Amino acid sequence: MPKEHCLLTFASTHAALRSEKLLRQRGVPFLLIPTPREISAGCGLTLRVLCDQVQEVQEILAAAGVSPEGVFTAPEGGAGSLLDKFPLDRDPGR
Amino acid sequence: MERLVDARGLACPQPVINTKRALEEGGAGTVITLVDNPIARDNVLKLARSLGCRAEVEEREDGFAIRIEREGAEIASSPADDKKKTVDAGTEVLVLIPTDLFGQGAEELGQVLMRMFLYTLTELKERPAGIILINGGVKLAAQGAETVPFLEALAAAGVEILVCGTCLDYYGLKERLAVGTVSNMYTIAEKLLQAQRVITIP
Repeated sequence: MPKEHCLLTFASTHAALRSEKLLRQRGVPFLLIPTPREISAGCGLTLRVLCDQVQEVQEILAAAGVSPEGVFTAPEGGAGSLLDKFPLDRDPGR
Repeated sequence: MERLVDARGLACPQPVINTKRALEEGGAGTVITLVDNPIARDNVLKLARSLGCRAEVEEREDGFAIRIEREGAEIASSPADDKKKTVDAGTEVLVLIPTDLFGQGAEELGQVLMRMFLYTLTELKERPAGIILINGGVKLAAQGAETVPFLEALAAAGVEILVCGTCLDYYGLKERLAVGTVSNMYTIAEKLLQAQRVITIP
């Protein structure tokens, strides 16, 4: 069964890029994607992470003073249709 | 009927041009093109595919023999085919990417926007026929680039990824090409002229 993916949205592009850097440093797998149209959010960048790790991710971000604007579970089919195509179980950002 | 095109020793894009001519001139039947290098082989195969012909490669001592079957009276130029290409697959749209940064401005942002753009292309139903990576754009297809998985997905979906060989060489990335086909200015210029629409990333 494919692992569940969660989407983190941010209030600003800077917050999204800062979060990306933090996750990269910590070796947490993620994929930065354009915010799906279905989600209305301030910034056009969204971090896709494994739901298993969403807690850990939020702690990493919080420790650096960043908090996501919203946390969503990627819907099957819709915005998450390509989740299997770009699996997260490899190096961060790849 | 079988026709033989001996393209051994010919410089690119001559093997492709000669093969295309042979396919166009004869009716239904088989064209066998002989080439002496893998790049010419790939380019001839691509031609066959783009014309909707079946092709098989046989490796020989002095290169490759590509056997191309032309079945119908028309090769991929029937109105129905053209319509299908334009409407469904967007076959005539090429995306020219001459930079690894999307737009002018902050480098960090340009880099992220390029990743987002290529990712989004994988999500859209309408896809370009090809993507041409030139100058700084070739970095997007090099090992370790975060855009490689997206280009791979596009290639798997049938988008032709052409990468400027001169540019790979200039940036010292020749050995590190992860996705796409090495191409030269003849092919690139030809593709640009033949495309119905070229979208250039600023």
